[in-house]
Amino acid sequence: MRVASTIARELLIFAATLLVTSLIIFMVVNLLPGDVAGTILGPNADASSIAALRTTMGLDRPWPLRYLEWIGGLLTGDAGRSALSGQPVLALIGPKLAVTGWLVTLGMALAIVIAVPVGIAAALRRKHLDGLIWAGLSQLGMAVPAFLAGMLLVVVFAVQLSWLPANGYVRLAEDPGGWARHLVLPVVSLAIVQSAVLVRYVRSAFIDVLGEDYFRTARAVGWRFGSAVLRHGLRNASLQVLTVLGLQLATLFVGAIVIENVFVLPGLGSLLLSSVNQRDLPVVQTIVMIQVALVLVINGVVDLVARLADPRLRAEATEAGA
Amino acid sequence: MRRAGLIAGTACVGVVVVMALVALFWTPYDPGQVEASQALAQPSAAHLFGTDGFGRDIFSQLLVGARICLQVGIVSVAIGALVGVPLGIWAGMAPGRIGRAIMRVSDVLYAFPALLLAILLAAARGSASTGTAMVAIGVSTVPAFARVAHGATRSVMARDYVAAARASGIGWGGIARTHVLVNIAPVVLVQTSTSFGLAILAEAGLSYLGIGTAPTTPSWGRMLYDAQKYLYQAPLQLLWPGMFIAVAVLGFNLLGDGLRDALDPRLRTGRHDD
Repeated sequence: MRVASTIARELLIFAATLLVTSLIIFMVVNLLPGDVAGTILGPNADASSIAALRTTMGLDRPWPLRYLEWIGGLLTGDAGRSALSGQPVLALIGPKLAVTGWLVTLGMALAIVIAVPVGIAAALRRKHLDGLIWAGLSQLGMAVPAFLAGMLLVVVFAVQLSWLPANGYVRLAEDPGGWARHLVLPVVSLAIVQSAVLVRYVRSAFIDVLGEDYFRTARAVGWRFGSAVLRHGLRNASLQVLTVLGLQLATLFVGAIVIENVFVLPGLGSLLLSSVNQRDLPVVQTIVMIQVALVLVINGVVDLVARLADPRLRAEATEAGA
Repeated sequence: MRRAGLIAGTACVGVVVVMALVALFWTPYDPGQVEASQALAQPSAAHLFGTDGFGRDIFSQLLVGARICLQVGIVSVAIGALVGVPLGIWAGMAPGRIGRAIMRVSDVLYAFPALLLAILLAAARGSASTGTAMVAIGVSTVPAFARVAHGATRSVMARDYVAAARASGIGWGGIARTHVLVNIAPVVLVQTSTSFGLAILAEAGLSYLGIGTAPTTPSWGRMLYDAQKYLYQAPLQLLWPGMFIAVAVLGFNLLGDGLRDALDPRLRTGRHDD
């Protein structure tokens, strides 16, 4: 019962958050000074043709109406039409989703695969040279922008060694081998930077666990060090790491935008940037809304899972709800 | 060992600051001066780090880039701190329910990284500039400052001296000034250093995508964008701006970690028994 009411309350707050977010996005894009119709027609356009374009684009109507139309359309699966090509926005976005989806999920997966063992090693060996080297590498990885890592990888593996393509994309259904070859460098460059940040959290979560009483007790009653680390360490550190993963998600999406640009991948990020340059506002606001909503949804789920899994947080949540 | 991090961080930041100061008064060449005959020249006595694809002197651009990097960092972190810290203090001193509501609102901003905000601003304004980049980065750092200030304020408010101050009739404003602000200053300082590093990374990314610093201004991210055209002929073009971005970010990160250890007595004692 308590759990159910907690979930209901969270859902309500969550819906309100999404509404506020969509309002922020709409207002920034539509209400800041800067006339779309004027920009599209160029500096030499006369006032009457600008006014005519504003009418055809629906820009002369009051903004609350336009906002409601946009948000209502989004909910019913119609986000309006591109100001430039006239195509439905969602039809433009659809084919790009797979590219960005692969990039982000594979990047996140590789980052976890790298960061967990490295973070544990850095924690266990923190008083030794190798542990310090791992921690130092993580510091270095955090200081390098993902797009620079991407370009350096291109120089080595595409330009010098010619092992992998420098850019472009092939659909998975067309040619699985080519698909994989085109994704290796983008995924690796995204994962390097993400894992550098993650290593830091895995390391400190594990150092915390190693100092806890239950860990010392497990050791004292004769558990081998390795199994104590796996049983207690991994389980207790995983919640902390899960929360960080959720928070990192926004950075991952942003990283994907930049990486798609480096490797000329036809994903959401490329579409977003070209729409910004052409001032295709309906496309821009819808893509940003989709990304932000995804980040919020996944973080909400992570938060809920963490609360339900951790008895201490669960007690706090029901107490706050009472 | 911890000391070493602090020293290395200070040294890295020092290098960038010195470069920025030098750029205020002197650069070997005009960083925007195009000389087509000198394009992609190797490093030499005349051009310490060589020239780029337009024949512009890379060393001069790097010097000016240091100034832009610090300028963006200072302005955007100032925006984040000046909005976020009061918000966090307010949330920390307000009764529980109101405090939680304020933090909820600030947390919404976590879903808007600097890059997305800058993209929205660029789309709305029709043009991008260092100004919009600084605003976008600044706003995106607000929630981190608010969260740090909130946590620290709550622990200060639980102390006996705050109860004593209340009992002796000092108002909330007075407590915020005399007790809270002074006691949360260390954690805010640490956050400032960390945010500075993130701001530099964000600015580099924005300039690389062409929605930050204007093309004629030699920001380090912009230099990387230009270098991308010569990945095949002159891959070394990547190295210099990339290296200085890494040095600057690493410096501020190490400085933040070092300050955290130096300023937090709890962590300092923890080091001895661990």
